[in-house]
Amino acid sequence: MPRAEFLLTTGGGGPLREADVPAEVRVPLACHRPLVSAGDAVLAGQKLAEACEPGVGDAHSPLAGVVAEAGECVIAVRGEGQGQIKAADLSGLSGQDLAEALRGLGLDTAGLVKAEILVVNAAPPDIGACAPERLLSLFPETVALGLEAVKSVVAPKRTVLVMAHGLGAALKGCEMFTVPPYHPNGVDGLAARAALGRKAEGAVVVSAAALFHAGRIMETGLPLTEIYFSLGNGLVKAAVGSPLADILPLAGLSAGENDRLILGGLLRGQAARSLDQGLPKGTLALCLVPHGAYPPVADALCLNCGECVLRCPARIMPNMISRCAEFRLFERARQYHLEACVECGLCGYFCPSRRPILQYIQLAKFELAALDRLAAEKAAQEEAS
Amino acid sequence: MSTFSPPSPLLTVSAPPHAHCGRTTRGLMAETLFALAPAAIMAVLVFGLPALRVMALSCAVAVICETLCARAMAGTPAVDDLNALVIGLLFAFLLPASAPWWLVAAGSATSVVLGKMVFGGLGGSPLCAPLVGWAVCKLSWKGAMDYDLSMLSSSLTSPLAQLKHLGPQAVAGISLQDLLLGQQLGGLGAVQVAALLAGGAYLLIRGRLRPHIPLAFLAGTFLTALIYFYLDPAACAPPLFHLLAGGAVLGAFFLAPDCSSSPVGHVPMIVFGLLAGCLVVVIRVYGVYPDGVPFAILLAELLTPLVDRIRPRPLGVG
Repeated sequence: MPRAEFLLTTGGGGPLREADVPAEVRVPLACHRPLVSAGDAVLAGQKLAEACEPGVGDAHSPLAGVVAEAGECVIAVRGEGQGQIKAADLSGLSGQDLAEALRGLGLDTAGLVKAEILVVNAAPPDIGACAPERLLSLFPETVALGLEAVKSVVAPKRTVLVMAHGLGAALKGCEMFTVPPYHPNGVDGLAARAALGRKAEGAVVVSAAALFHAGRIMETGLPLTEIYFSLGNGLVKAAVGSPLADILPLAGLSAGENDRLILGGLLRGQAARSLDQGLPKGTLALCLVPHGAYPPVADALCLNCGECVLRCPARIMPNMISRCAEFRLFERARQYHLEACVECGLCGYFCPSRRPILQYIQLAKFELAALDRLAAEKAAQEEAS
Repeated sequence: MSTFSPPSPLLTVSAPPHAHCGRTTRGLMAETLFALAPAAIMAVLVFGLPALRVMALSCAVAVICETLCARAMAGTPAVDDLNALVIGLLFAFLLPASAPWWLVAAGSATSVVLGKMVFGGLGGSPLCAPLVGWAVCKLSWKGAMDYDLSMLSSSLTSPLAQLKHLGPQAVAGISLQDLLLGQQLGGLGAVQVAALLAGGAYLLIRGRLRPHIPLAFLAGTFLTALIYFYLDPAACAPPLFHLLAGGAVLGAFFLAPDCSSSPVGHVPMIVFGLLAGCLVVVIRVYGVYPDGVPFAILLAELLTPLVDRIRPRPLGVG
């Protein structure tokens, strides 16, 4: 019997609200090299920073104005004057050229590789993150446009649409599949697996929200500077980099002292560090968690009660993996099939010790990826010499 | 980079998940204590104030020992999670009501220090802490730990010792109702079978205890005893007697499911429970000790790492 807290709501009742263009935006950067410096005048849509890693979208200014600050983590632009860059022409492009053009216009294209099967995941990937399904039901044409673009990159033989409620309009050329509307069924890996079984290995999974944003770029030819996400029971459209403090009032929310503001859903999202922080691209939801609503996370020892093991949808042992990561035995964590984790967050939800299990797992994955990279470099060097 | 002006209000930053089921270690221990309360009350009713003395001393020593150990290990004392109290009470449940103060103190201290803290604290121990203390006392002070010898003033007898020394005819007259209501000699709490069953049922209903280990343990005990009884009814006691005499029920609901030393998967838990339950009867039939429950659980716990290897295939592997 699934728990009531895990019910993925449709968010169908709430309206689509549009946030005002803020006076100043703080565009967050991930691994970008700034192209502007403080004092430069920029047009709306002008590229602010270039991604240093493949597959990560470049950053653009959502408004015309003056660069107030250009740092490693954030570029602040103060609104001033008018002017917009010219729309790009994407009509003649396809395949990798199109992917590169979309990346240059701000879309994250890291997962888009050639594959036999493309899975469009419209099911909410987290509690409170119903944006993908809502966007599909509100803007089916835009999503279809995005799907067309992504299909041209992935070149799939089969396309499957996974939904939790069956509300959205069917996409042309997609097989439909519905999962029960409970977390973690909407997590990418699990949704694909529910639809395809073992064939899900090697399939490319894209969120319907990502398709929508790709569709917006295709429609307008303008860079991705506005995103749509869930807030409360509604949907919000806001400029990338809008201060979070400006967005909350749209749903009648206000953050109090020591509250938690979550960028993403309740179980998988990242906590915002400040209300002045700019809205990052790729946000699917904003959730406000009042102070003291849940027992605080603790640096406690594992009790070995087994709750995480019995709840894990990937059937791994989060108790052992988190212990391995705690004591920096990352290779040993790999033996416990760390890579099978879909990061649904259930282990931490049920942990009576309040251990940050998901964070330990993410740490182990990160460290192992770094170790693998080092080993590969070393092997390449030896081969060369 | 410009410096942030202090934003109003300050947010809490935390790792995902940001929601929680609300069930904490302290809550688990508090509910376990609550589930043990009926048996503690019954023990006082049956054995009188000496039982209360043993339980109080054992709990106090356990808490003090854990605090001192945590100090010595330069960690933060975590006695407020109530686990030391649970260990102290469970250890007291295994003692005769007449246990002298030094036996209670030594055993309780051993349980906490050797059964829990040397392994780094809660969750690290490969053995159930109260049973470690019990085993050390049982092997060190035979006389004081012998229920019949130490309770000579009591009119009750220890049914398992009678079964061991006098044969099944000696226990044929004992009614199951007497066994249920604690009218037998044994661990002062372990023999309060009806109260322990009520406590176990409470934990099961509250979802604090998974049913796998307790039910498999009882099933293992019952089935093994049934096989022996079927093979030779004249030499063996009936299966229900094995379930209700001695510490089988305490073992099934409170000792065997001990978090740190029991397996975690569905199948491993069932295998573990069946194994421990089966060993109970095997030790009672062939062993030199009348009650096989503590040793059966300790032995089964040694196999936990092995049993835990029975795992379903992880998602997307193989």
